Amino acid sequence: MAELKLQNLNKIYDNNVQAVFDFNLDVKDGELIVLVGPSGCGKSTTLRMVAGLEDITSGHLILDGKDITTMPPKDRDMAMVFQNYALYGHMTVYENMAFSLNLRKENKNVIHEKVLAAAEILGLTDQLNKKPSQLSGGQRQRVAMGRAIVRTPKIFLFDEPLSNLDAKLRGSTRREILLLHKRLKATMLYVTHDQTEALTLADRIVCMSMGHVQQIGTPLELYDSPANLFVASFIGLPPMNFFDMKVTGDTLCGSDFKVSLKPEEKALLSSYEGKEITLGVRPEDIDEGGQIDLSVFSNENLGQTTLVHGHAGKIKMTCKFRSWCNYKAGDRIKVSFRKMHFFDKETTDAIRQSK
Amino acid sequence: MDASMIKKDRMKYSKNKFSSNFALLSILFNIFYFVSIYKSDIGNFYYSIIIGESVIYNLLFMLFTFLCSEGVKKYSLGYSVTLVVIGILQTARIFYLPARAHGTVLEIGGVERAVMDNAQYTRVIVFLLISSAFAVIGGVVGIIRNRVLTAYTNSSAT
Repeated sequence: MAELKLQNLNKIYDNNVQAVFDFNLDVKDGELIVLVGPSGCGKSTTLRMVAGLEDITSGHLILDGKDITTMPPKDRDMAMVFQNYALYGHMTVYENMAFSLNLRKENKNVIHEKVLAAAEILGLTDQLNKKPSQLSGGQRQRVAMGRAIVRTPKIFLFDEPLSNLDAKLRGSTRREILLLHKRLKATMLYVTHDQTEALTLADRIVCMSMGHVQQIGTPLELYDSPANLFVASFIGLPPMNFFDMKVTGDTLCGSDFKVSLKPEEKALLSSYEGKEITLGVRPEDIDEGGQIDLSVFSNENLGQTTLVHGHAGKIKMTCKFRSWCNYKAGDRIKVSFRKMHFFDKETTDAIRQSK
Repeated sequence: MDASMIKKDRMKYSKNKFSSNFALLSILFNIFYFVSIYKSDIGNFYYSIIIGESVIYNLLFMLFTFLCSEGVKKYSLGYSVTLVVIGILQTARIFYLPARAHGTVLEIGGVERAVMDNAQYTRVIVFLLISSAFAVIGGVVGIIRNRVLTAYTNSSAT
């Protein structure tokens, strides 16, 4: 049982730079929350405040109903896995994993059983007598996770644990973390700037920018119904295309092309009649064939899909087609939008049906 | 797995620090020995081939005992046996230099003086015996643990 509440957390450094603004989040027991955002958005600072490695300027941190805002890190019963592993180079894998329990002066036989169990989960049984320098990056990160597991903490904290790994290893280690979460059913807070990690791992994602929480929701909610332009542009690869359009009846008029609106879209934009809005279209929501002229300037075949970059008039557009295409620079094709997202031009918030 | 089996299984991943530390203590008491023995610099008793041999033996002793302290960490039978042999030689050293110095009386300026008085002799012997005991105990424990670990590894393999 580990429920964590972050209530109005603020972090202001000594030089008056505010890194986190009014962070609110309720983490349920067994939930895997991913904090995602670009570098410098305050996600690691938030995690370090939860761990107790940074002082909380204002706000409260509640763990299972108990206020732990000022509690020292060692008493919080949380285990943190760092990006750079933080393993002791002169100790073997076994000794690294047993280290925190030895410090607590736990029974050596109990420590042994816990270490072997963690090693079994992580597939490290054959590596227990090796030093970290004899292991690959992925194995080292697993040792770091093992060191956290043996403590059986209430909450696991991961601070960009996969950033030091190559792309292939990152994928396999990501799957291991997911399996680990399912197996341990532990509450986890995971920080990353990689949206793929966020989308594949999270039960819920917290998207941050400039110290502010932009949106909290399931991966599908963030992908399908982004709360604002920032979330829309950050989640999704390649990123969403944006166009400045004017609402004119049942048509959206841009500088270089027009788009017809469906009745429900027209109803949604009724209060924006005659005003400018931002239209967002994901590259995968663009189909070949339609009314919009696109002048191709590059064609990237990715196997199952093809990324086609082009200009619709002066506006750049990226399309992701589910077929092998062989367009050449200068080719002119027709495209249409399958699904569109609308954003208020002034507030940058998504335009949604008022409830 | 019961407690005794866990204890044996732990040996696969933990070092034999007991034997290793005893080997290092043996070196420490040997240092106490050789800084004590030349205090009674009477006449020219030590200025012979005997001092050369003693210095070389001390260097070799420290080198091999240190190697053994590392070797026994991994439950090596060879290093454990070597440590026992080194321990026995430490006891034998009593009869090589300290006993000879203690039994030698030199006449200096018409006055007869023992090269090593009883107090120093006792002190030197105690240091050598302690050094010897640490090496022998460390070695014997190493041998026992090696056998236990070998038997456990063989039984778990079958």
